[in-house]
Amino acid sequence: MIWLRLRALFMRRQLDRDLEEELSFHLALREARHAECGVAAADARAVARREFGNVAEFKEACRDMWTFVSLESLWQDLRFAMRTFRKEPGFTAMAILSLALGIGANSAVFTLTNDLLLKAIPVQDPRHLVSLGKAEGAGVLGGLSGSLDIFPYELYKQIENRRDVFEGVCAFGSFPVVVGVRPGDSAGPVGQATSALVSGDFFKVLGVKTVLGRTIESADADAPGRQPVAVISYDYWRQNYYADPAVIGRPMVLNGTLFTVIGVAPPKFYGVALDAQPPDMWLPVTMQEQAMLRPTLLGQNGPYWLHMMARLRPQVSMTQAREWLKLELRRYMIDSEGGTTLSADRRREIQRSFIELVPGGRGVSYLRGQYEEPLRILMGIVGLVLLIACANLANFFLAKMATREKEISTRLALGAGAYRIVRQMLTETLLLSFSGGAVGLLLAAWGTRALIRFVVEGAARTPFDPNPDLRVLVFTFGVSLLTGLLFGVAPAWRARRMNLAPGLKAGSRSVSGDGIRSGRFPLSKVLLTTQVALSMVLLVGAGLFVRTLRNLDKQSFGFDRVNVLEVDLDLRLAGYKPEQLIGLYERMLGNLNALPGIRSVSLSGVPPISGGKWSLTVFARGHVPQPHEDLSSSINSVAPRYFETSGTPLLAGRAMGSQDTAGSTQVVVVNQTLANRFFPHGDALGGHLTIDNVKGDWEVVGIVASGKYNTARETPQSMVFLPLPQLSGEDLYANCLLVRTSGDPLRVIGEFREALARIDRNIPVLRVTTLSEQVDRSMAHEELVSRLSIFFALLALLLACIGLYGVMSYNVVRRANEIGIRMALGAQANGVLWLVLRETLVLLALGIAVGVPATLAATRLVRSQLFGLSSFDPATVAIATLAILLVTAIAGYLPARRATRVDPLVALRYE
Amino acid sequence: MGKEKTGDLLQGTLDMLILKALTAGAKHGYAIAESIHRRSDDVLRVEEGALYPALHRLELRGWLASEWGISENNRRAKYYRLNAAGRKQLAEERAHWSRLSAAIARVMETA
Repeated sequence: MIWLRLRALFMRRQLDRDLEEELSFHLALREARHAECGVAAADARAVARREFGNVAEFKEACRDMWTFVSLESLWQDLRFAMRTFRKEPGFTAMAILSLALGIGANSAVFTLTNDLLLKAIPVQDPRHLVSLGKAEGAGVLGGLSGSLDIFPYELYKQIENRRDVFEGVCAFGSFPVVVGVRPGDSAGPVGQATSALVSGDFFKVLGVKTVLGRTIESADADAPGRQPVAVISYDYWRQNYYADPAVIGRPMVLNGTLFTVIGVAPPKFYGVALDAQPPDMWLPVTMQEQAMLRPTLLGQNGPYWLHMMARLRPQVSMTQAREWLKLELRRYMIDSEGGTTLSADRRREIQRSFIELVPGGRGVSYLRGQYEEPLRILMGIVGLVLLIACANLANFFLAKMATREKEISTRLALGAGAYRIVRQMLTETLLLSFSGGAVGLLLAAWGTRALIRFVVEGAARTPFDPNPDLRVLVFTFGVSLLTGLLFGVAPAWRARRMNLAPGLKAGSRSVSGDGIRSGRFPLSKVLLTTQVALSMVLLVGAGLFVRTLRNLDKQSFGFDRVNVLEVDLDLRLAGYKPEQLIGLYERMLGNLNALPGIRSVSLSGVPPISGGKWSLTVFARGHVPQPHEDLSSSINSVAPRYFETSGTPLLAGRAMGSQDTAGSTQVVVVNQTLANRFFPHGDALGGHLTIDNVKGDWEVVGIVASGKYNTARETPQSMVFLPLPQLSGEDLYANCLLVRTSGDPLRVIGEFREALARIDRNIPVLRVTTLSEQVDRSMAHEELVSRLSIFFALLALLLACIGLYGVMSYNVVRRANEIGIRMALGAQANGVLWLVLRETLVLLALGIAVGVPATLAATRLVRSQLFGLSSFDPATVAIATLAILLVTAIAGYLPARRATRVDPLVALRYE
Repeated sequence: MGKEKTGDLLQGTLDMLILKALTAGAKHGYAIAESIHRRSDDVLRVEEGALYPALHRLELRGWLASEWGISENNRRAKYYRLNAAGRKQLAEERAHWSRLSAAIARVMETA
């Protein structure tokens, strides 16, 4: 009869009144009966009551039957906890704030972790999707071996329709393609858009439907040049077509080719690549020539440039699929590279090639590889911060327990069970931790946005969602619960064991100790020691990361990044043919070099430092390759004055100049690493190189310092600089204009763009940045870790200090009369100061003693993320120790000084 | 659930006695107590208060219905009435009780 009880829940007063009336009716009737029998009125009542038994007890028994006892008393506990907190708004605010910071930081880092590492992409049944390789490499490559994650179009065609292990396979370009957009009719977007090239079954394999129109289908991509159709992203549709449903069928000119919009993708669909810049549109892979404005990549024995994803057949295991794919891959490689004419070496290499299958439900992302480890470290850091906050609150609660001795003793004396007391304590701590969690979610909303902005480098649209999903909410709930239990257990346990009698005595501040004195200090000391030790771990960690970033930044990049503007161009989009380029370059360099405020201008195929890479196999005359020696080297094509403009030191010989033209001797400049490797006897100058895919015999005329070309951490790579004028075909396209200015490079951007427009208005400028920005970008995740780790380490230190200060202040209050007596007996202020301060210093020494080994153990875990220093760095440990000493000494000194101001008279009179 | 005192009565017997006392029609608590005293010739003296937790429990189990009425001395009183489920329960307890008492009687006689 649960409804009877539910009704009673809402008719509490009614129930109480009824019960009262029912019982008093019985008593009155019995009393009247006795009175009738001649018992005196006063006695009649007493007899009636005696016969009835314990009225209160029976009433209680009835009440309990009707009500949900545990629910009711929970409500009581909550209300009591609220009252307690309202009496101490300062403490409550401090507690909630520190918890909110701790829990919020955990939520924020977890949200990003969830977005990048855990969340499934919005496709149908993501669990059966597999990615062929990690799909982190991108570009247009050849001559690969080993573990492959990038594939040629022909291999895709070979397995596309085979159903041996996959239900379907789709392919997509490994890099975004920027296209120029013009409206095909009266209105539409103008400018540039990021496109993704996808195979005809891309949407089918993923199981993604459009919200409007249709997807790209197999028939749209069955032969090169078919079909000029585009599926646009939801955001692109809203921003450029104002969500007009009539967009379907509208013409759109991409790079001069007329395309038709056939569909709009669903709102959260960003493709399978979780990259900083999600695509605006998807185009059939067979439209590659038109989209990229470069010769076909789809031909026989074509380059490796596609990523692939597949949907596994239900009964097929990953191992089976891997075996099958391996054989297909090797067959393709042998066939495409010449079959029987293949060298024995290459054949062996091919026999070592394979495709790693990784779950594809989470999509693919180059950011994942970059941020996986940093995010793990950040999770560890914020976890430690939360632990410190917990230790802090546990300590405060322990201290508060002492002031609540009387309350708790009274409740125990009145018959409250130990269980009830423990529950009351846990209710209070959980109420705090959940309030902290709720505020923490608000802080996390802000923090997550900042984190994502940093990771995607300020991109306007990102596939990362800053809003918490169910998993984040459950995580936050779990963390809040755990936190509340963690800092509630110690005080609750203490409450349970509390002695009654001393607590109820009036002078419970006696010198000789009381109900809970014994045993309290060890626990609170353990907590403080832990805090100091954990702060130490965080401080040293932060120190290591900060120094890593400094080391990375201070190292030689092989160029001078100050005052250099980098302008990324796409001359293909402007319609230039290779044979027109030399003339254009001469005009550009001539005009731009003459601008005021500009020291020198040059062009290059690849920027001085960038995530992208152009690499080819290089043979040096006189160098006999070892078996399996990797002869690949980075390549760049440069215009005259490149080394001067980028600030790359010339070590020997000469740089290329205007004398090196298409007709003159073919010359190259190499870097020190290449010179040392191929010409170990110092005879690089005058040496000769041949380069795969680039015609000619190249003479080395200069040696420049080695640099960092892709990331700040890379080991020196060999590099060949080819002169642009001596190249032909595709190699002639320069993608980067480099400008060395005499002042702030940002100030000349406007003039520079105008000058460029005077040469040709149609040259699309993809991006204007500075070389130093690009260098910073190469260290982005190191910067994130170092910034956040220092922030959290300081936060941890602050929390530890608040904890220490609080506990020590409280101790001084507790010991006021002891101190009073000592002073009355003649103790000097300094003696008292030392008495109190000594306690702090012992704790500090203990904390550091525990902290140093803990730190060493913890920092070993992050070894791989450090640069230019080992995980044991005495200087960092020393600085961290000093910082802790200084700050905690202040936190301990203030209460100690207060102790010296204790007035013996006041302290003693209190008794 | 709260504690109950059922005097010397066997556990569960009080419930049966209450149900039995109500077979003749709706009664308030006092009348039920009186009825049990009278019919047992004052042998079964229930601690009167213990009657009420038992009544409330039976009501919550759905064996009794209750309503407020006016007593013989013109006061508001809560009247309990046996419903169908209560009658069924009484029959079961009665059967159980006769088996039990017969068994006990046999054990005692064969001494």
